[in-house]
Amino acid sequence: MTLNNFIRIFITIIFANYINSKINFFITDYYLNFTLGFLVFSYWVFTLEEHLYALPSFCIGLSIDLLSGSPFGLNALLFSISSYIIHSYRYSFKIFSFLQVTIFFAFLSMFYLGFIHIFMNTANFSYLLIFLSFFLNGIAWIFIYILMNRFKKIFYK
Amino acid sequence: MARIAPGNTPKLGYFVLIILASLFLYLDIQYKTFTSTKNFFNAGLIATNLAINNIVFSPISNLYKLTNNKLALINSNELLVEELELSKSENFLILNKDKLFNDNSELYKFINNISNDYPHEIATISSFDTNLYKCCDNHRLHLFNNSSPFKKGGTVINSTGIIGQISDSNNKVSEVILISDINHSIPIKSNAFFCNASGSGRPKVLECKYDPSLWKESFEIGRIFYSSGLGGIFPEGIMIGSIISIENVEDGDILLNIKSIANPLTQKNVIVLYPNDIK
Repeated sequence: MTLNNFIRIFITIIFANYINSKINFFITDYYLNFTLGFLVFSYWVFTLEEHLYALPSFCIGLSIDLLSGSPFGLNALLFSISSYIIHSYRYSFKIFSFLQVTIFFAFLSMFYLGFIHIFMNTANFSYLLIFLSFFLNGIAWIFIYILMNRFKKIFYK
Repeated sequence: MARIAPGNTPKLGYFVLIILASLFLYLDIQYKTFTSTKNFFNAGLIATNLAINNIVFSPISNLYKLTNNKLALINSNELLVEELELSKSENFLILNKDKLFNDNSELYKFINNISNDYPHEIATISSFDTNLYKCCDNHRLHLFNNSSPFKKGGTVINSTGIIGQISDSNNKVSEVILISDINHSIPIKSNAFFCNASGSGRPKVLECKYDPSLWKESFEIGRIFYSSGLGGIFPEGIMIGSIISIENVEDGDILLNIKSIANPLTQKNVIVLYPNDIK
């Protein structure tokens, strides 16, 4: 992967994370949380032919930790683990339907959100929020997949 | 779910980096090892944002305003809004005098003594992650430093009441821990009842747990609490909030949920008050 392409990937994830934080401010009251930054990262891991392996995932996670004020290493850990899981199922995805893939990523984002809340919102951990966000992030994945496919065609070389 | 198909994913790299990330996480949570790194990064980010705003966005926005022949009007309007906000903060005690204190004699005593007992500084909020404030336990914001960094322990108020306390400072910015933060506590009182109200991690909600066998006081929804001044950090007699719910918790203790009247989302300017032994 070239440095330019890595920067493009990085910018999309940071941008999605920024949008995510702006939207979540309004919807948290309704027990909903997006994980747009994580879904965009998952999209890149899922679709890239050059593969986003351990080191880029770790670096992107650390940068998000710094930018978002979460405990240092939390996103790095979760991004690395997610990248490993997605790569492990790389060949299985080929026989999955789009619905199955959507459910897989909705589950993955649910676990990501669950771990984030375990570390950052321990006293007010809400199962309802995690459960409802499963559906929200499943729907978000569909839109992210479509949008990022267009983005990839235009900007990713 | 299908079985994992064999692939050529490099497991060693993942293993090493997952261990490293776990180590970082453990060190940060257990020993706060990376707090200074994060504060340094935040300070740099805020300074960069400010510089970009001043160099790039402000001239563009000013140019736009100029073309509309409204520059002077808009500038003076902005100044007036800022002045109004500052004066709102400075007159906080006077504006809220009816609500803030139990009786007027305490209020006048406090106002007369404020310049001596509580030196104060005006500060501007530089960054506030409102998403973290809504979603998570840790409620922090950052202030731009004046000529010198704010001292740890200073009480931060805006026109709605006490919002927090200076928890950390570096050369550029100071961190404020809000009263609703899970790690913060503030001594409060209501008549003869005293307790340390801890932040609940929910916006504007504080928790006060007590043993009913020790305190015979009975409480009702809406009962008002004031700062007790114990510990000498927070000024005494400032209204903190009122009870929104009462719960029986483990070991027969009673938990009072108190909704703070102070809202950190309302204003950009705040006042930092210091007791004499801090500054």
